[in-house]
Amino acid sequence: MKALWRAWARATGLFRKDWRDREMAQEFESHLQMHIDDNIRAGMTPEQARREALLKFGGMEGVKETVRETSRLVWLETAARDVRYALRGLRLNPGFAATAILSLALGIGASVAIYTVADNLLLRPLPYPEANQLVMLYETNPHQGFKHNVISPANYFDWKAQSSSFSAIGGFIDFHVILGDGKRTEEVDAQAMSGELLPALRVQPVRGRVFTMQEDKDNAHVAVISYRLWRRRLGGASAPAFVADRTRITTQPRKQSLGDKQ
Amino acid sequence: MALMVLKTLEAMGPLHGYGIARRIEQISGDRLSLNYGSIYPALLRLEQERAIVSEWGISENNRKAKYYRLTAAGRRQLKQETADWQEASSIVARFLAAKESL
Repeated sequence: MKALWRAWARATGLFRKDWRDREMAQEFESHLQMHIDDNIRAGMTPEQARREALLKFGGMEGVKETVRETSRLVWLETAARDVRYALRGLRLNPGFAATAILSLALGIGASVAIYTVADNLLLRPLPYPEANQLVMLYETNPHQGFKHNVISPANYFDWKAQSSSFSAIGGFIDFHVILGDGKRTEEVDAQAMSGELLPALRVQPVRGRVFTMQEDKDNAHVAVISYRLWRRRLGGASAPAFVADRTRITTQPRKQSLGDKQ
Repeated sequence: MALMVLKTLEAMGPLHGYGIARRIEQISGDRLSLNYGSIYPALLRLEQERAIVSEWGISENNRKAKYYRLTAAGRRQLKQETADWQEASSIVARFLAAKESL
């Protein structure tokens, strides 16, 4: 049983250091006892015998430290040998090495990608003031099993008028637009939003203005573009008029409009 | 030190650290005075090299003691190190002799 326990401790490496330290202390104690026995047989008093044995042993703690040092050193040498052996094996077997390295690379890459997304989506707060006070409201559609259904405009206006729980309510919906300036045409993500939304999020435009409430009612054709799009597409041009003059936005791509742009 | 430990274990059979240290001192005719404690790092190293193995046992005076025993690998190592040592010491001896005759 004891041997079994020892084998288990050895296999797991758990408590191993403690175990070895205890074992060493026991061994040294037994060493001293045997030496004391011999000294007493040679005619010394027990006290003399103990002192002489300790003296002859040399500094006990120093020896213990040297033994620990040795065992660490041996461990390092073994590890270095294993690494060398592994490297040689990989070199002799490039197919296996490539597979192993590729698996590791893919595994690490996938983990990094997933945790980057999780970090951005789940862990970091939204980049708005008092982000913990922001909520998303949805309608449910039990008939078709939609938990996050779009809100009908009439309900939206009712909520806005009758709710007292929120300091502001704004609506938005995702869609895509085709963006062209006569040279390049591309599809970009867009959102149609009500005038309340950006002020509620306390978003300030870098240039120009955001939507007005009147524009909601006028069905006005106005757009706010993202900073990223501004930098990428318009070169961060300083004149706001540039946007209005040269950019065409359409929600309905047609063949002829593509032809126009060539 | 390693060589002396291996040789002692070959001559005496399984022995504890104290016995090995004592024996080395005696064989040297007490010309070699060593701290007995310094035997243990050497024993550990030999054990890690699988040249010796250890096991707890009971001493001749009924004391619990850890006994070290030579393995087959240890015997090979002893043979090799003995040959190396003799080679080295004969070279040094010849070197010293040549110097004296100049």
